[in-house]
Amino acid sequence: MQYRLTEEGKDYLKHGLPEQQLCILLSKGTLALDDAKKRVKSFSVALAWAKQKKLVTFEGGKLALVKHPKDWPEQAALAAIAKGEEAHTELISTLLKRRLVEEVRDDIKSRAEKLVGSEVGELTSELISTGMWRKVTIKPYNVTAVGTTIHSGKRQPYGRFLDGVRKKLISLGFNEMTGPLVESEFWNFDALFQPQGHPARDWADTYQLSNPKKGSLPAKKFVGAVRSAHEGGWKYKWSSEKAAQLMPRAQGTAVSARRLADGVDVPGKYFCIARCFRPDVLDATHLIEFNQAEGIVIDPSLTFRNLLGILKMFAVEVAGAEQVKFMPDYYPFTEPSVQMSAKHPELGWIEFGGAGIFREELTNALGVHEPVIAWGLGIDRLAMFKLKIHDIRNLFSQDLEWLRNASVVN
Amino acid sequence: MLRRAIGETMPKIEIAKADLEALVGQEIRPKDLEELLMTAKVELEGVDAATGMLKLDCKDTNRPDLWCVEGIARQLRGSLDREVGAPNYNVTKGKVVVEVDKKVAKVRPLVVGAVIRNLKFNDLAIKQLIQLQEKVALTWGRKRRDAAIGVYDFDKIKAPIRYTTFKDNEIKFIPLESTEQMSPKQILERHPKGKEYGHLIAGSDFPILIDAADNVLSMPPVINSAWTGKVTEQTKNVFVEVTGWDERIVSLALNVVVTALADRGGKIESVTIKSGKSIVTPDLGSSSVTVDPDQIRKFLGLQLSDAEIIKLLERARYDAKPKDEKLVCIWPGYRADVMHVRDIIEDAGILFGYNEMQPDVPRLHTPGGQTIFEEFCVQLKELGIGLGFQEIMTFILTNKENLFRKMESAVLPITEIANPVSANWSAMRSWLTPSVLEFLAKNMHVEYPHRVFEVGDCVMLDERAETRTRTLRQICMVATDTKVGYQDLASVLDALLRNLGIVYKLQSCSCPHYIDGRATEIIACENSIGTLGEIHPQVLNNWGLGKPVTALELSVDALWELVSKKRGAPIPKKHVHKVL
Repeated sequence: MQYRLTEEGKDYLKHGLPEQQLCILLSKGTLALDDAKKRVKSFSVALAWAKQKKLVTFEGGKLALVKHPKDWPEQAALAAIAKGEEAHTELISTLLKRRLVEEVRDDIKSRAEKLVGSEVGELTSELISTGMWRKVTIKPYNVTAVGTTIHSGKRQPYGRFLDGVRKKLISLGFNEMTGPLVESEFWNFDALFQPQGHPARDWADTYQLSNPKKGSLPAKKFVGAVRSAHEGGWKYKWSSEKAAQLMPRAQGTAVSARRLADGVDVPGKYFCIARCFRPDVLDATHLIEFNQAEGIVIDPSLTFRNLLGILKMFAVEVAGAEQVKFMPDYYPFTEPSVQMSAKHPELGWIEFGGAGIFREELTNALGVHEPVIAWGLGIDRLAMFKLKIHDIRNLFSQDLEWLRNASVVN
Repeated sequence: MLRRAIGETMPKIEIAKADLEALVGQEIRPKDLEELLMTAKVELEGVDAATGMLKLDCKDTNRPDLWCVEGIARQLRGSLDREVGAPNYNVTKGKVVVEVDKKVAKVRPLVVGAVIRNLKFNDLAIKQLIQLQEKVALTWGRKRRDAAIGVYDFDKIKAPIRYTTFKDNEIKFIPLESTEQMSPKQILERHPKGKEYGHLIAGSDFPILIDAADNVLSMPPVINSAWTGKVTEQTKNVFVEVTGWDERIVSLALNVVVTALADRGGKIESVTIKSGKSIVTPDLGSSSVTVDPDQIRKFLGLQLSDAEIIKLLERARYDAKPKDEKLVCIWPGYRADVMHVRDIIEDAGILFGYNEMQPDVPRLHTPGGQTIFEEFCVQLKELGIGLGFQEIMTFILTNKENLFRKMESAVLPITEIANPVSANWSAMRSWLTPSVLEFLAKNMHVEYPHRVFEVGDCVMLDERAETRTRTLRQICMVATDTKVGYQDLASVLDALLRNLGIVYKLQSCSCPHYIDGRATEIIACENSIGTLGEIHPQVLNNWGLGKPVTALELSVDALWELVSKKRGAPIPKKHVHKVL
């Protein structure tokens, strides 16, 4: 380690340490404090050190010399350091404490100078700040070697895809709705005019819960209206017990039903991306849970051609399709119902959307008296196409390597 | 909705193109076929290369009349304008009586029937009949529970027919696809159909249709007898019966079958059902409703004249008669799906052609928006990524073993599935860490370090909630490597919360899934919002994990609440949850 004198150190080397100066002054006789103050430059430092070294006393307003040392080791050390000679470590630490010397930390220039004319492996901050980089050669690398692998944090591809769909729908003027994962059959089926004996409500087609088993039904006006719609339309005895049974949400349309009952804006456009559950066996084409993008459009002026228009808009905007094809379809809760296939420039024809106009039996019971278009998009299949996935299980990929390698550009 | 709409129990059938063309009365060009079939609400799924059979998806689960070549041809004749209006079927009064014993009331109470004479069966017609019988009983009849159909060689039956019950030891007959006399119980135990449908009649009294010569016709809804219950190319006259529980369902099933046979040239003869009162079946009477043509125009958004509307309805096989500026629409007895004017409007639209209509995007000005909660979650995910973590998505369904036992945690009440497909997916998760550890366990061969996170939903029981549960959103972040420790995630947690502007403190905690002394509870505004710690080696062993794992799990709902409070905004409701 190298040291050099601070400005204060240089001063003391020249004029002696402050306590030394004080001793010299007092060697001529005692002095009043104020007098001494005037005649010694760094008086407070001098007094402090002189007292600590027990060289002076202060009694009755007068300073008196006790001892006048012959040798001043700090002074000698300062002289040695100034000449670039070694000094005793203890003395150096005292001098460092007194801030009379400092470490020569970066002898930037000299270090940089050593490198002049050589080939350097590393462009150091010395070379940059001293300008010495001009006088060295920077060693070339093998720049054809590929960098070592690192793994960035990033979105799960399917999650990113779903957020893209969400943003697109918002940009088209749709408002997001959410709903609970556990639903009553009332919202999942009854409010959607699906009769209680409908095959879809079978044990085999939807999950049921063993705990908790039953929830509460909504306000009486909804329950009563749904009951009479079912009993009048489907001709059977509607059971509120059955409607109160709980189940993991099996279709996103349940969220739309809740929205209608809660009140909607007219005109209104709503969507949800809803996790749904069906008792399928997990395989390459079936998931045990999946996401549905669904929604509703409400306005007194809506026609069936509007419904086709909305579906076509989704095909163009969300799926990037060029052409669409419609065909009749059937849902228990819509009439008319239609299915749409969209022709994507690369993917060809895919079944992409389904829609219908909610049956009046349904909307009236939920207190809505305008036509309500209900639509859904086949986003899982679109996601598979876009993410180039052939096995639907990969949407929820459990393979970290695949996730790491998945491209963020699709 | 959509492809994955529930009720995707749509029948899939196969028909021969030549058979269809013979019934329609003209050839159909391949390029017209698909669009034309749409008018019968069937989708051409493909053509069987070996047999040349058309594979069809019948879209309308409420129109069993369209689940056979005869019914499709009937609609196509209308679509092609060869035969329009509601088809008329004559039912001649027949002499056959079915005597219904009171004993069937508790077993399988209803029976309806008809006799069809003068049939000329070929192989295709027999196959169609069997297919129709099966599909109607499966979908419309709810796997034969609500309706099962039997067709018999009428010439082998000696009327009157009795519908009654027998005890197991009282009767034996040879069922179809067998050569052996069997008792009802033996059929249930040994015959493939008995095994499949036996549960529908598994009492001590078995429903039996038997003729005056004591020949068993069948044991509905399980199996016909080999003697009478088989239709061959030699069969001229048939007896058709439908048994079940629901009058509307059995009647329609019968009507669908008899009209299909009538379309092949059969003559329908009624049967008298004597069960206390006498009823005559089949009842092919038509129904009607009055429709305002303006409503059709407005609803479809099409400028159509009344005459055009009438033509469309007639081609859809309705009779449409003008009456006081309105139209009386009449449909035949093989349909029971018309509940509302809408059903008629849809049929008019289908015949106009969905692809002939100009799609019209409604000009509705509505501001779009996502729930700010979802937006918040996206921000959270961005932070997770920024901290170098890979996002993952796992299933909400899991099991108690993963949620509790593997986590060395006490078993708590959670949301459980009554009818799981597999024990692996028998509960809804109540926390996220097990899902993420499961993910790590599947990736032990993948290059380390692993730093992954999920923002996902969980379900918690809540007695006061409408659905007795609450949907929670959680975030779980984990890091695992040969050397990884508490401090790695403590820094991540700090970065996460600092960026959200949440002030927190840590408080030592004891959780069975963490190492004691290396686990902390995260406290903000005096509430616990999550935990962080080094996963206990026993838990690592339980999952088969070979390297140390540090994990944190936070309640996103709690974070959201803290962030909203800080903004001074009222806490927006995440879901519509009415608390009692």
